[in-house]
Amino acid sequence: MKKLALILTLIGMMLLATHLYLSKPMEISSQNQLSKLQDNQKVSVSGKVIEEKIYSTSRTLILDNNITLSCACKNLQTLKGINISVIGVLDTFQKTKINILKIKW
Amino acid sequence: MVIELLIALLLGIIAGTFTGLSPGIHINLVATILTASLAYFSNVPLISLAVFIVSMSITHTFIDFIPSIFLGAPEEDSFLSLLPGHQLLLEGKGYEAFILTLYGSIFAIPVILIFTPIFIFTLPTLYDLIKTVMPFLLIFLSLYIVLREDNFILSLIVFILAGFLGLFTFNLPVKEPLLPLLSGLFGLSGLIISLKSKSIPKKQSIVPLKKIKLEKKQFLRYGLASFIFAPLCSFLPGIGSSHAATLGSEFVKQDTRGFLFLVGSVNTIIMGLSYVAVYTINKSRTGTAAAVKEILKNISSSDLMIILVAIALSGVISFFLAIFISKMFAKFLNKINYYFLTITVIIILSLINIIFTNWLGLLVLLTSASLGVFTILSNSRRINLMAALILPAIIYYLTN
Repeated sequence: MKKLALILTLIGMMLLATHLYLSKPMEISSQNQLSKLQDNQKVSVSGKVIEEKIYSTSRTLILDNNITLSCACKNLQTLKGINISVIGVLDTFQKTKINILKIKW
Repeated sequence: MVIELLIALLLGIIAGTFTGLSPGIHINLVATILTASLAYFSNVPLISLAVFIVSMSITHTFIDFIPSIFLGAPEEDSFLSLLPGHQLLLEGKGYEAFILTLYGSIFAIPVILIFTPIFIFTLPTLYDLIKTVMPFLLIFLSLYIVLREDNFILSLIVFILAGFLGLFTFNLPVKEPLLPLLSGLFGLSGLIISLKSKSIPKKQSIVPLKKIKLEKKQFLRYGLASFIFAPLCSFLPGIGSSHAATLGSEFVKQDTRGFLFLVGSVNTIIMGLSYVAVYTINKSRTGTAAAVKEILKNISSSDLMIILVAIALSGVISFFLAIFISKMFAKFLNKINYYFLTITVIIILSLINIIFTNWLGLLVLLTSASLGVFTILSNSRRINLMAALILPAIIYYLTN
């Protein structure tokens, strides 16, 4: 039973790791869609940046579809008025936003 | 106004008793429902709603050890009591085990009142310093947990597996992530082993309160540990009663009875002080404190006074209520087949997980239960499984 328990543990961890790193992001086009998702859901979103706030260690972007994005990317060029595509994870702590993993423009 | 507050207090105690006795139905769920339906309570004074939440949460911390100790069905805040509690349950001392957690919970009430002025005057300046120190304290704790075991390689393997399981769980879209993680690691695994070993608890004895005592040394040692570590863990994100109890227990000489007292006190201290933290630094550490913050917006000093009175009153009432309910549980346990009860609890825990989490949560449940079983059968200490909460907390503090 000990061996079986260890094997099941390792299989379970491999499946969880596979899901974490290899799952495809869900395409999102509006803020409403986010309310139906769980925290940490991987999502992809595109849009034009209409508002940009730069803080000491992070940056917040608001897209034309009202979706808020957040990243620790304060050294990037200004993105206001630019069309961007983002892959990120949903974070509903304090305010619903997407934490950026990858960004393209 | 006073009558409304008293009604809110009593309703809170009833709700806290219900959530405490029902693994899977968390106080945060009730608080969230209440804050989402504020419009329906426009005639009720906001402070009464806050008192309802405060008394519910404090009662919950007194009662939630009952399913953990008597049934092996733990909750997020009580799972550490499961192991020593089960040990005493097998000896026919489940009632005594619960009363020890209750002593801890009632001890917490004066501690909360003592720490309130200390928090008000020191927390705004000490918050950042403690936040900086916390990850290093947790790293030290992790090394200590692993290295103090005879077979530290096995301990390290369990610690790493549990740590990664925690990291995966908290980074995946798992619904109610703590539910499958903790009920697998500490609940289902123990129940499966007790089914296999067919260990049947002796007849539960109900001894008078005056005969359930902690030695003076035990009381001082564990009282001091909770006095130091619980307030420290009551205002930081990612750190909870389990971290405080683990820190506290690893820094004092360990014994089962003292540990039960410690987990009881830590649980209630953290809950009570989380409301003081909202008032002092405007940061909510618990779901119910966040709900109170949302309801009251700005907590005034008179609001805080009412909250403290609600904590004290609900604590005292819950103490006697919990004694009554635990006696009923002990008598009930003597009347039924324990093997049948264990199977029933396994089914109920699985059903709760099926209802409240998603398919990823069920995968976490299966994995964590397997890891729990492996840990028990390898004779590794189950405190190593705490890595599932400690490692994510360390990473959170080092990266934020």
